[in-house]
Amino acid sequence: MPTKNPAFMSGVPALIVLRLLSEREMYGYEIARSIKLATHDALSLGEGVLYPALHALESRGLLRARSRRADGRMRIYYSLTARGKRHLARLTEDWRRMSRSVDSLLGGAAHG
Amino acid sequence: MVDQRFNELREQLLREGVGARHVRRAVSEIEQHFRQLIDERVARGMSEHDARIEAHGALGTNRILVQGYAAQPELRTWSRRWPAIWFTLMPLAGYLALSVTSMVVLVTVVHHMTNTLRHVHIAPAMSHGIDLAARVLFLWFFPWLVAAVFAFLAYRRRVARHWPIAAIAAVSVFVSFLNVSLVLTGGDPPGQVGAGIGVSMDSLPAQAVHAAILAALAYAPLWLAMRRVRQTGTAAD
Repeated sequence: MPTKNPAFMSGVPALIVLRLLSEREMYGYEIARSIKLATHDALSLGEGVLYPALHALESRGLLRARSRRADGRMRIYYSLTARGKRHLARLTEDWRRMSRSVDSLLGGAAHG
Repeated sequence: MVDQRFNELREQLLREGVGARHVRRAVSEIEQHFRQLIDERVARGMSEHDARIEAHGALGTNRILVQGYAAQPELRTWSRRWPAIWFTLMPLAGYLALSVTSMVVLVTVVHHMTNTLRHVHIAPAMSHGIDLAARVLFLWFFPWLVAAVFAFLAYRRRVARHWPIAAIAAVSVFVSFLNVSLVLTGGDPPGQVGAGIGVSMDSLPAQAVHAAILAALAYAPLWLAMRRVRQTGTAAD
């Protein structure tokens, strides 16, 4: 059942991170860069938001982390767990519902 | 080269109550991120010096990074979320668990040795020595160990000093009201193990001295560790 009043703004970093990681595993810097690329620089998660969000999502069992050496550097790659996939589906649905509501409100206001 | 700001970040995160495991990960990942920001700029033709300055700006201040972690309750240590429970009830529970477990082990061993002890003569001096050793173990060593361990944990997690002091005081005062005796004699019956808690006005001064000495001994390692940190800090300045 969708949540009645989702804290959609505070859930945005989680939604973005989970969405990107649903495609493939990535490390922190790669996620930050992918967000900028995917949104044409319109959105950017600062490191002070991105890393705490990654670690919190991992603590909640939504992400899995593993160390891997790449280009001579040890990096921590994140991927979605089954629970993370279910959470992403729920967040996406919440976001779409909220977005439709706001669109509807703005459309109504424009015609009013 | 390890940038000084990452050492400071580690310290600030610990002070904010972020768990040591998360702190290690955070500093390592943010430092890697910082190096990639530099590499990216150097690859665009910027000098190493300029790239480093710009990367610092792109990373944001340590305060912002720390605020992000502080806002995630699941990343904070249990002891920082409920310090009163952790530093008053837990040391007492730890001491009791250690003492009761040891007492049970002791009683079990004595019980299994009953037949042997019936045929053994234990001199009064030896019996007195065993009793004294039990008192030292239960009324001095175990409480010292538990209080010192909690003080050390508090130090490692950069908890405000009054919490480990509360832990040390709680254990020291509680233990000063306890009595333990272990009477192990040969013959039939072979011996007994006993513990008790009691308060009497006559022994209050002795109990106060016991509590004070125990507290001082438990506080000593913490004091030495903090002194060393202060000296290192002064030397670094």
